[in-house]
Amino acid sequence: MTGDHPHRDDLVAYALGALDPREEREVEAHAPSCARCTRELESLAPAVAVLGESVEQLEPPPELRERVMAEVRRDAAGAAEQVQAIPRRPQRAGWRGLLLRPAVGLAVLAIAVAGIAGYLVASNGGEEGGAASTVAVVPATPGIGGTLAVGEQSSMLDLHGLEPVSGREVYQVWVARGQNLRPSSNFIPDSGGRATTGVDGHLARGTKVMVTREPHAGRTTPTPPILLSATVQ
Amino acid sequence: MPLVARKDPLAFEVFYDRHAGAAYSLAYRIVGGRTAAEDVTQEALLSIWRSGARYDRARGSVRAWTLGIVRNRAIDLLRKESGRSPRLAAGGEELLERSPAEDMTDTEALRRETAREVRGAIDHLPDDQSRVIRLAYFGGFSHSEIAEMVNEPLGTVKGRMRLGMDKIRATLAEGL
Repeated sequence: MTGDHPHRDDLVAYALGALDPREEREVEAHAPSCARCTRELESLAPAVAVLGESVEQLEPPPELRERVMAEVRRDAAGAAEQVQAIPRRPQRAGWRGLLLRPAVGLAVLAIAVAGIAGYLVASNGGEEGGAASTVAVVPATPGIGGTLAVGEQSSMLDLHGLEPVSGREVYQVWVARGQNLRPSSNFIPDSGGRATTGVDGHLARGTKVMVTREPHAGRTTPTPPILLSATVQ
Repeated sequence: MPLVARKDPLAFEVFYDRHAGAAYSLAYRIVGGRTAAEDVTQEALLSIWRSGARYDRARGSVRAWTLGIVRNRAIDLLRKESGRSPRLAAGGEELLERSPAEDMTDTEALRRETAREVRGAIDHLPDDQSRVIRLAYFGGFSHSEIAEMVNEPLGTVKGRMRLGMDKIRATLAEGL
């Protein structure tokens, strides 16, 4: 520091991200309220930016764009939902389609009204044609909860309390029946930790649906721990 | 940016198309791998989407702000993977030389040409100044770590950084 001001060399090092943490804190404590130091840092900004722009230019893979924009649209849909202040409704077409089946719709409604928590919370939606039920998931991790709405040809997991993922991480749904285990859908929760995802195929009684967090999509074996599970009754 | 700040996905799509290439390129330059570069870029861009309102015009162009976020994320990843800081000495030299072997598409040509022009501002620096600046910016080393690496007093390293940055600034002022 020179007088009350950081030394100019230190401002340059700060602009390059090269100060030690203690020195960095000192600059950050001082500069915002100092016109002189703020001017100096602002004048350094274009030179620092040049460093970032000077690298070999590559084309990012198209999948990256798809992943980022999918997340952005999901966030935007969630935000619009909150702004409208209407009861939360699943946004995805598959989920909406499932709700059109009366039996499943009734089962989900029963959960909403009763607010029941527990292992098995809803009854069969019907014995004939369109049998459906909703079971509450059993969380193995505190804070996670949700329901599994079971339909004839597909089912739907509606979850909350999920931690955000980073990088290429995804949540993966697994379906276990006897000794057979297969991966189903994978998903990324919204910024509020909620997710609704389809589970393909008919889930016979006794089938167990589980969710894990995986380092990337496309895994064929689950990575422990199992975060939650639901058994079709 | 105001539209991005208002969480307009279409505006963000435009933002992505404008800056993702530069962001990914910088991330690759720092972390040295496609997968890690993708992860860094995704995290950085999503953090911008979620906090776009924090962009302050007074702190530089949108591109500079974006690349600053990418750079910090990439350095964080390097530090996380290496315990605290990238390996000294040998690792530092690798960072300086890292260069992607990547095919160039036609659409990349213009962006690459621009990058080549700006690189001139750095390439004309004396080696000792260029080296400490690149170790700091791309390697994430602190000035005291760099002093140890280049076996020079801390004051000398700081001075080289300042002289080098002043020259880049002067070159920019002359219009590259």
